[in-house]
Formats: sequence, structure tokens, C-alpha cells
Amino acid sequence: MSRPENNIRGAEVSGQDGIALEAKNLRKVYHRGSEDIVAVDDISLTVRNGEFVSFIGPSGSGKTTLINILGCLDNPTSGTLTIGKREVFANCKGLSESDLTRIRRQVFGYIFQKFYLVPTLTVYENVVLPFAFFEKTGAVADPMEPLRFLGLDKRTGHRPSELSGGEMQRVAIARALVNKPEILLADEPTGNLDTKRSEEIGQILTSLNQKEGLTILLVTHNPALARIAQRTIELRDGRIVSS
Amino acid sequence: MAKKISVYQVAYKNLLRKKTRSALTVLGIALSAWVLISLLGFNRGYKSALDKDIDNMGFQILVTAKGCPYEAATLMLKGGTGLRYMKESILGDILKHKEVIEVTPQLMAAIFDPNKGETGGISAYLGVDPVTFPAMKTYLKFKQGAWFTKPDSLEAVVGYEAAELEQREVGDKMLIPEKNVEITVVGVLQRSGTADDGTIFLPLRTVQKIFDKGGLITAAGIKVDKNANSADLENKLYDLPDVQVVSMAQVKTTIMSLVSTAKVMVFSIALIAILIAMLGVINTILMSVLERYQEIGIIKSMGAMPWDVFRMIWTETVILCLLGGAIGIGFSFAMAKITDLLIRKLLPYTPTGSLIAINSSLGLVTLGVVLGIGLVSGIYPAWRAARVRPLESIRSEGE
Amino acid sequence: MRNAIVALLVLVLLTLPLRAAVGCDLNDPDRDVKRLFPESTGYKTLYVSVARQGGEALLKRIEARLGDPFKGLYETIDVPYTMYQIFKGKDLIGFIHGVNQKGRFGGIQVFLALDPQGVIRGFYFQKMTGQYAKVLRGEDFGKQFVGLSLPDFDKYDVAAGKAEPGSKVAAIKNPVPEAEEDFRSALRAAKKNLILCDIFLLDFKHMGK
Repeated sequence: MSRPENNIRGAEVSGQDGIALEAKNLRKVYHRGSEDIVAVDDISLTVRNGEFVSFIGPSGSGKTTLINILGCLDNPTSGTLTIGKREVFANCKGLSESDLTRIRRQVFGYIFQKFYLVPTLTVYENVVLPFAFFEKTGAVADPMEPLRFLGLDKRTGHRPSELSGGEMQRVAIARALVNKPEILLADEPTGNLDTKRSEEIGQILTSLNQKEGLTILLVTHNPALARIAQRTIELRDGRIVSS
Repeated sequence: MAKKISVYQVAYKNLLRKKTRSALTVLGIALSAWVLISLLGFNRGYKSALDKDIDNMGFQILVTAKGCPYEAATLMLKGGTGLRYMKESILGDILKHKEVIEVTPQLMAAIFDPNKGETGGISAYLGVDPVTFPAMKTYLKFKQGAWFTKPDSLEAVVGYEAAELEQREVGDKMLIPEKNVEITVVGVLQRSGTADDGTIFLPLRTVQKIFDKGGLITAAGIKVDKNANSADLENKLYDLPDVQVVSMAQVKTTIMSLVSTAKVMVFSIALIAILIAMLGVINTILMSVLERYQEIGIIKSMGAMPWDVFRMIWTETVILCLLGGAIGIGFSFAMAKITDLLIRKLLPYTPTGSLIAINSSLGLVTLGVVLGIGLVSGIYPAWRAARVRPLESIRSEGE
Repeated sequence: MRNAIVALLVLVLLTLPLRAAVGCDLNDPDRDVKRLFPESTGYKTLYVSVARQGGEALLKRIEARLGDPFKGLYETIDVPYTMYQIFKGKDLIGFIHGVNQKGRFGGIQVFLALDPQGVIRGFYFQKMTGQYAKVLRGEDFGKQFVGLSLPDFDKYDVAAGKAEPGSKVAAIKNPVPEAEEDFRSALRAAKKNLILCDIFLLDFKHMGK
């Protein structure tokens, strides 16, 4: 069942001097036959605790690859990444999937363009699904809390097929929040939504950042959505062009 | 503490996604379980029914006249004659052995009855000694009447089913065809569940007289001292001239070895059925894993370790197998009688008791086997699922 | 191998196959219907019993009409009777029904073929045991029943085994005096058969509701 963990191998997660994560000279190279594709080219950046950062850029700019590395979903080819006080990637040493999982579940919550809700579970069951595998110390005591916050307290018994796109994304957000993540990683969260719903999600992210102090990394190709962040980093061809 | 959800609940609900597919997989497993438990039940039931039949013969060794059994069988089937005979004096020789408690002579006589059925058939009569035979077959009880009044009377004791078929009661007559001898029914036996239910017993002397077989018998049943070495006695009896010694233990072994050939074949079929069910399980779960690739990736991103995912998928396999196994076992209990009838049609010789002996312990064994198969079948799909990397599974998001 | 044969022989001989008799069906309906009704094109089989049709009250009426109580295994209230309706195209052209009856040396099965009015057009023994069975099973004996119906058999006292002089039943002769018991059994069986047909096939035509 869920296994509460206090820390990852003894190291504390919370950043030193308010730094949530720090990346130095990150590179990600894909080998496709004889060709090498540099998806992320020597990127360094710092994100402070409670900061809302958006990443914007055209298709192929490397923003998703970057955020995958920052979110410990992938190993860089080289470079370092420090999350809080813990050095995650260093000296070209990649971590095993199990190690990455341990870090992810302590630090991150994720939401994606597709909502990835389990169709046979109710809204409530989808939200508490992470607890089936891992319950962090300090996780929400009452799963209805994020549901109320997101206006879903009357929909807890419904299945995803009975929800609108906006409601489904809100369920995904609630699910990402139950284990009280340090950092929320949102990769194109409004990609499947209309303008009105996209604005709602934007407002929710803003509220989470301002009221809960949640550090948010947002990837989007939508400039209007990107603007809700405190800082926008623009990427092109795997490099930061403006920040 | 608010209500949480467990991995097992998630697994169970996953199976409800494609109800038809899950149901068909369960059905496949149920059929395999039914075949397996029926086979195991048959294995046990046949043997115990055979044991009972043979034990109910009342004697442990049967001595018959030596002769070509093929010839005897052919002649028997054709014309009711051709049985080999022994001299009655052999009884004295048998009794000399200290291991022998009692010996009972029998004379089987068969005759063609043109009025039997459509084109005629064989009517058989068993001549028995009114003193020694009932003493050996103490389990035979009377529905009406009693054994013969005299050792050479024209009297018959009729087995339960034989009496039913011909509507005979005590006092009624029976006619031995061709010989046109009228005999009076003096006893009708209660149902014993053995071959005696279909037998018409006459006094030995009567049969010898009617069929002109004075001083001759076809078999002698021997009751052996419990503490004696039956095998030793059998060897000694072989020294008697022109006899065949049939040990009921031998009969059991011989019939069981004849049946075991059929059993090997049927077990092979059962094994194939089980393998097919296994493949069905692997296919169902694997398809389910591939369909949920991205979802599994997300579950990993939520914090599920590879073992958690493995456990979840493995649980789905276990649920399918337990459900299928339980249904198949339940089905076998309900259908035991019909399965019994089917087997009786297929086998040339079947003992009179119940052929399918299924009980709860056999059910548990079958469930265990099905579960074991399920656990093995589930390993590969669960391993595939556990290996899923979140990034690979959601990479189709694109940039 | 030799022992195996002997063993099997011993056991098989001691268990010569017995077909447990339940009810009274034609041995080969397709063949027998065609033999009794050469003009037929098909038949329908019905399964009925006194228990389901009228219970104890009906049983009493049957026994009263028969003039003899029902007794034994084949005359219980729940015996299943097999009735055959015979057709030529869509037209009902007759019936066939068989009954079990106790004979001198064994069970007897008497089958009647009737026309749609319940008049006998065929009589035969499907089963009979005894040294005179061959004579009684001959065609000549059965022909004596052709043209008779239930009212004719009312003139026959089953218990006493006597027919009213001058009646059609009285004209039925026993070709084998030694087989008197089986002859009387045949007549009882025929009467019982007609009563049951009257109830289950002719809707109480002669019995009256």
C-alpha cells in the first residue's frame, strides 16, 4: 500500500536559500541513427520557491524536453540539476527509473494536455489514486479539500465520461495536489480545452501559486497563458532566447 | 481518516473497462477449471467406484476355468454358450489351503431368448450355492422374500433392477427360454448399487440340471483370511490344473491401467485447454496493458514504483483466474451427473458407483492449480507494465 | 493382457446390460410409425401423466372404467405416458400409444394404433416373454382387435377375465389356451390403453368430462 517517506535517502527536499531547483549546463542529445539531435543545448536556470515560471517556444524548441528533465522524468546527457539541496543529475550519472520515481513522488505533481484519468474510477477515486501507491508525510488529510478548492465537491461520484474537459483537467490538478508536491509541473494543460476553460485553468494555477505558494513550471505554446506566470522563458532550438 | 483506494480495488476496476473481454477470458478459465476438476474427480471416482464394485463381489479371488478368453467372449456374445467349465471337485482342492476361509461355487448360464428386444437377446442366469453365497455377500438385503428353500428348487432370486424390468414380485413366474422351464420368484433384492441388481440368481444345482452341466462350475469365489498373504495363495492356486486365477486386486490394476491410457489422453487434452486459457489470460492482460500504456506512465509519475505497477497488473490476472476457477468448479459440481453420463457413454466398462467424485478439497486443489497458472501467466504482462517509463508513455504529447 | 480379458469378461458377464424401463416408448419411432401408418408423413410426441392431468380424482375414474385398481411400478400416478399423434401433411390421421402390463413370465408392452375417432386399426406386442409369445405376437392375433374401441371393451370384465357373450371382445380368441394369463393381460392392457388414449388424445370422448 502507500509508504510514507520523509525524505529521499536522508536529504531534505526544501531548497536552501529559497531555491526550488537549479539547472546548470543541461544538455540532451538524441541519437537517431548516424544523426545527433540536440534537443536541449547548454541550458542553465534557477527557479525559486514559490515562483511561477512559464516556458514558451515553437514546436521543436526543446521546452518539453527541458521540463521533462527538470521534472525528473528523463535523464540529461550532461549537466547538473539540483532540486532543493539534493543533487539529482551530476557528472553524467543518470538515475534509475526507481530512483527517479522516489524523487518525483516527493517533489513533483504533474498535469498534462491529456488528462489521463482512469475511466472506471470516480472523480474521488481518481483524486486519491496516488495514495494507492505512495502517501507522503504531510499529504492532504482530507482529499475533499483540493476538490472543494477546485469546485468539484459536488461531482465526486461521477465518472470521467460524465465530465467536461475543464472539469477533467481540474480533477487531474486535484490528483496532482493530494501528495502536497513542492513543484507542480504543467505541460500544455490547456491544449485540449477551449478558450474559456483555458482561462479557468490559468486562474486556478495563479491561485495555487499566489495563495498556496506552490512553485509552478508551465509549458505552453499559448502566449496568453504564458503571461499569467511571473516569469516567461522563451526557447528556440534548445536554447533560452529570452527570460 | 478519509476513504482511500487500494491497488486491489484499482485492479478490479480495471477489469471492468472491457467487460466482454474480461468475461470471455473468465469463461475460458472456467472451462479449463471444469475440465481439470472433472478429470481429477474422475480419477478418484472411477477408482473408488471400481473398488466398491470389486469389494462388493464379496470375495477377493476368483478362480475360473482356463481357456481362450477371446473365444469364450465371442461364443458368449453369439450364442450364449462357450463358457469354459471346471469340475466342482476343485472346491475341495481350494479349501485345503489354510488361507482360504470359504469358497463359493458359481455357474453362469446364458441362453438366447428370441423374445428379448427386437431381434432377441441373451438371458443370463447365475447358479449359486444357497449356503455359501449369501454368507459371502452379506450386504445383499431383500425387498421381498428370501433365498431359495432348497438347493435344487426351481426358484429364483431376482436383483432389484431385473425385477423392475420384468415386473416380477415374489410368487411370479419366470421362464427359461428354449429350455421352457418355469421358475418361481422367491426373493427380490433391494437395490445394492452393484452388478447384482441386474442378476437373476438360481440354485447351483438347478442351473446344472437345466443346462446339463452336472458337476461343473464356471467360477469359484474365494474369501481369503484378512491376515493371509493373498499373493502367496494366488501363486499356489495356479498349481491347480486348467484354472485361471483372477485376483480382484489384479482386476482393479488391469482395469485401471486400461483406463489410464484413456486418462493420459484426456489429461493431455486438459493440459492443452489449460494452456489455451493461459494464453487467453496473457493476451487479455497484455492488450489491457498496451491500451493503458500512457495511463500506466502517469501512475508511475504519481509515485508508483515498478513493483506497485507489477502488483496491480498481477492482481488483475489473479482476479480473472480466481473468478474463472470458482465458476468452473461450481459448474463441475452442478454438472457432475451429466459429466458422469458422458463418460459412461465413452468408456467400454464403467463401475456402477458414481464416476465423478468431486468434493471441496478437490475444488481447492483445482483452484490452486488455476491460481498458479494465473500467477505464471500474469508475470510477462505485469513485467511489461512495470517497465513502462512515464516519459516514453507520454512522449506522444510531442513538442 | 489375457488376465485383462478374463477380468473384463467376468465383470461384464455379471453385469449384462439392463435397460431400466421407464414409460413405454416405441423402440424405433420413425420405423414403427411408418409401419403402422404407411400413409403418414410425420408424427408428434406428447408426454403426459395422470398426476399432471387430474391427479387422484382422475386415477380413480380410470380404475373405475378399467374395473381393476392400478398397481405396481408401471401403474403409479406419475408414470409418464408417451403418446404419438400421426399426421399426413397437416391432417391428423391417428394415434399410437403403448402400455406396460405384467405378464405371466415377464413384462408385456402392448401398442395400439388408433384412427382419429379412437378405433383400433393396429395391435401389436412390442415386448413379451414366454414360450407362446411367438404365437401371440403373430399377425392373426392382433387382427382380432382391429375395429374395436373403448365402448366395446366396457363389455369386458378385467378382474374376472370375462367378456359379455356376443360382444366384440368376446369374439377375440386366445390361440394358445396354455397362455391364458398372458391373453388376459393383453386384454387388460388394451383396455387400459384405450382409456388413457380417450383421456389424453380424444379429450374424454367416451369417458366424459
